Amino acid sequence: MLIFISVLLCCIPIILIFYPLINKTVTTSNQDVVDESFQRRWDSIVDGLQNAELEFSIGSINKEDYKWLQKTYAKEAVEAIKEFKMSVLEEKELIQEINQEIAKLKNQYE
Amino acid sequence: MIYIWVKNMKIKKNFLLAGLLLLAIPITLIACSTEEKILNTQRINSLNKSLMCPVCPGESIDQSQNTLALQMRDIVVVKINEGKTDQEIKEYFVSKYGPVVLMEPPKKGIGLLAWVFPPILFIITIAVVYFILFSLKKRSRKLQDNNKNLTEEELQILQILQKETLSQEDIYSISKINGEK
Amino acid sequence: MVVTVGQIALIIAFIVTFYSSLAGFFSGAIKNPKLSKSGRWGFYSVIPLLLISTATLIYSFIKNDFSVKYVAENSNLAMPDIYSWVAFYSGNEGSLLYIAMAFSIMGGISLRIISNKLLKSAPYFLGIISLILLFFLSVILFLANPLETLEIIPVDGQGINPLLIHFGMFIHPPFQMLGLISLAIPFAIGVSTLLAGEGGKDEWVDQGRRWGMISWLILTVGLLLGSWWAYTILGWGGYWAWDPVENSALMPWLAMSAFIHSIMVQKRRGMFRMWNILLIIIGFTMAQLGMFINRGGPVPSVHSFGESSMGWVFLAIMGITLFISLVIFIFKFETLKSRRTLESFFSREAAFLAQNLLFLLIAFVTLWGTVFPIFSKTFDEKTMTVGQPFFNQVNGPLMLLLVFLMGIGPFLPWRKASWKTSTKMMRIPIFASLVSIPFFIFVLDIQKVWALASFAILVSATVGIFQEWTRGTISRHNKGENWGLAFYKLINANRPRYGGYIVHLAVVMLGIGITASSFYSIQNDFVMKPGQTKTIDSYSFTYVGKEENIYSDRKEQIAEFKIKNKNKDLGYLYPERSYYPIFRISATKGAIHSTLIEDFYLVPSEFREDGQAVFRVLVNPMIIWMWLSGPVLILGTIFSLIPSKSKKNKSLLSDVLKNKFKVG
Repeated sequence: MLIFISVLLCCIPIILIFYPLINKTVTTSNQDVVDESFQRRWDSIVDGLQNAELEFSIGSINKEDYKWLQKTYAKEAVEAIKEFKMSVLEEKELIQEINQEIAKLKNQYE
Repeated sequence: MIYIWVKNMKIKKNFLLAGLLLLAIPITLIACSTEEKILNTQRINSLNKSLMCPVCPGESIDQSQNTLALQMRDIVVVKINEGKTDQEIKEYFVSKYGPVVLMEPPKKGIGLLAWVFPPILFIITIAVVYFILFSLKKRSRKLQDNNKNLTEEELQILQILQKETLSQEDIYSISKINGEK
Repeated sequence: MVVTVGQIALIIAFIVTFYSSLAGFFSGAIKNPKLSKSGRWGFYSVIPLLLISTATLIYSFIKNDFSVKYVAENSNLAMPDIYSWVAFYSGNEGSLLYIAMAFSIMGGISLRIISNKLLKSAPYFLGIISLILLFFLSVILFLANPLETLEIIPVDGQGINPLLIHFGMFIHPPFQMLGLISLAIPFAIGVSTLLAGEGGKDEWVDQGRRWGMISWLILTVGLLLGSWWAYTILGWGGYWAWDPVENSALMPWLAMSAFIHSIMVQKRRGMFRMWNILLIIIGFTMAQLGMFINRGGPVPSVHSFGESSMGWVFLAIMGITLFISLVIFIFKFETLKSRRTLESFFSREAAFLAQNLLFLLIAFVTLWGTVFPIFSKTFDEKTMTVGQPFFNQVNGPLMLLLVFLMGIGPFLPWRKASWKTSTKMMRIPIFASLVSIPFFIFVLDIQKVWALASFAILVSATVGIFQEWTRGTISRHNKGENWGLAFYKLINANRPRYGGYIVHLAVVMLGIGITASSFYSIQNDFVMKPGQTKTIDSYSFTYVGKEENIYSDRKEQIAEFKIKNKNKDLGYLYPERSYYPIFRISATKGAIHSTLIEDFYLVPSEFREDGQAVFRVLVNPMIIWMWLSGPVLILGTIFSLIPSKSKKNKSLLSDVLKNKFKVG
């Protein structure tokens, strides 16, 4: 009886552990980390601006500082867009290069 | 005319505040200096709270229900009625059970170390705060205060940032950004 | 037989956890998602196994199965049935099983979320939480097994510690223990981020903040419940004794309080990256230190789980964890350097840093006080006690300073504040605070300096919060919304901020209760015969009589009192005192009449042979505010954790842009 129960208990983890190893797991899409990074930066800039607007409307910051903050955030946004663009283009170039190499190799072997 | 009046009001406000602040100090000091008559019961309670029951794990004789604790409480009452001072009563117990019976370390000998350490740590903390902030600030580039106005590009991006949802046009504008002055 | 099933489940759980920890680290290193998933599912499978183990233990308690050693040690036939459900975590071994079980569940939930949100760190996260769980399972299996059986079955058990037969037993220990171990989750998030080389990014901040706040909330609730329990059962009318075990739970709480603030700096500004990692390492280390103090007994405490010699294991694991974490930190700390800078000393970032260090200062001072007895013993032969008076005098002012910072902090905006604007904001709260001082002195007769200072600071903090709420609502109203909508939208648009304010209000309530009761409690002992009436303050209480009940494990004496306040009849109170001969402990249950203004607290100290009895009576001002702060705090925390509108449906800007860039 005890042995039966122990075997039963063992089954739970065994099935759960081996199933992913055997199965063709759908590999989670290799999310572009750069994508996420830019999105997060963008979201935090939007967040920050909203916060600055709130604090200005309450009176925690004066108009001068508010304008200064707006400029800082705008600058950051521009920088973030530039960097994102560059990295996308870099990746595009890289993929093009790789495709060219593959094409070359294909030609060699034909 | 109104401008001068408003300015005067502002100065008045600050004076008022400063005046109140200055007043607060002597009021507080005067009020608090009235001697509070310390009743015997209060003395007993505070003494009980400052003596530990030697056989209980970390409880004062005020807290503990142990028989020894109750006995010690009785002794405290007796000694107060005999006219002994707080210090004498504490010393009596220390002579019987050692300094462990006091709920706080004595302010002499190695006990003093216990008391001195926190203020030292406080000063160190202030120094650390200053040091960290200073090193963080050192790396800051000089704030470009000269040109506070937004460039056209920055203005455009700012307007987009403040929108709830972005239109196709907005996306197009963003993609055209190249950070030129 | 039943416990054998539990035992088997434990052993299987141990093996599987071992596997999942290896799988976690390997799959992270070689970047194999299949192995990762396998390891994850292995971790999930441990949850039902540990539930089964726990169930078998609880079952043994319910059935009074004294063949199980732990059941025999921690319960008896006289124990009320309902306590069978919770007695299992009242002792050392069982509480470890509870921790393992609860941690597996919490770990499983966090694992699921982390593997969706933090893909790169997830394998390492799995590895770390598996290792931690593995540690507990090892201790349980090899050192402190609650499922051990006895050769000779005793007829009756020893019984549960009588002080634990109280409603609080159902909630305080589970929360407290879970709170301590839950720190492992933000810790694992931080360290796994480092291991995955993701330190340079702030991806982990959202989850780090979330789980940091959750564990902080659980710890806070645990501490509040513990204080409430101490107040209602221990019969000395107090709620916090700076006992070593209490301190050991306070220290990680302080570290986490610091963390939930500084993580906001990282979220908003990308700064304090190194600091946050260090802070979470310190926090978790303190939690482990807490477990050591609780189970090792280096310093005597009312909370100690009895004689237990396995404390050194916890000390060792704390040391090892700390060492390894610091090594990882040192290797990876270059990635943590942020390019952001501090723009002004006079900014919210700077204020948060000062506040953080103040929290840590209090924690280290508390640690110092807690371990000083050991220190003095090694150097001076004579042990010294460091008790309430020391901590109150040293930590009191520091905590007041903290509350002061809490009041003025919100007036400092991010990045930089201008002196003029900030002082403009501070004007009203400080004015209110100053005006309140003569009110307190002359109307409420509060003349103790520290009490005055404390109340004045609490006033400024409260007014400051309401000032912002009012100004914000007014500004929205001026844009066209009606008052109600304006306020609602104001709060809703920035939940972290306003949830935080609600929590600060709860802190103010806590502060009111602590200040009033610390400085203005009245206490006295009375010797009374049945029929006598005595008075204290404005109360009069009549000792009507007493009832005595004898049970198999105790002698219970209940006194009946009729109380009046200023001649208004308040009804009857029934304070109790029970003596447990086996444990040689007397346990009391205070009878309390609570109002918003004060508590009338009555507890029997002694019932004498001659019919007389000694009663301790206390009048504790405003204590109920402390307990009321709990729900407010929980509400505020939950509110600030509610996520903002999900961006799932909106196509991510980054995706759309990416396509534009590729085409253009």
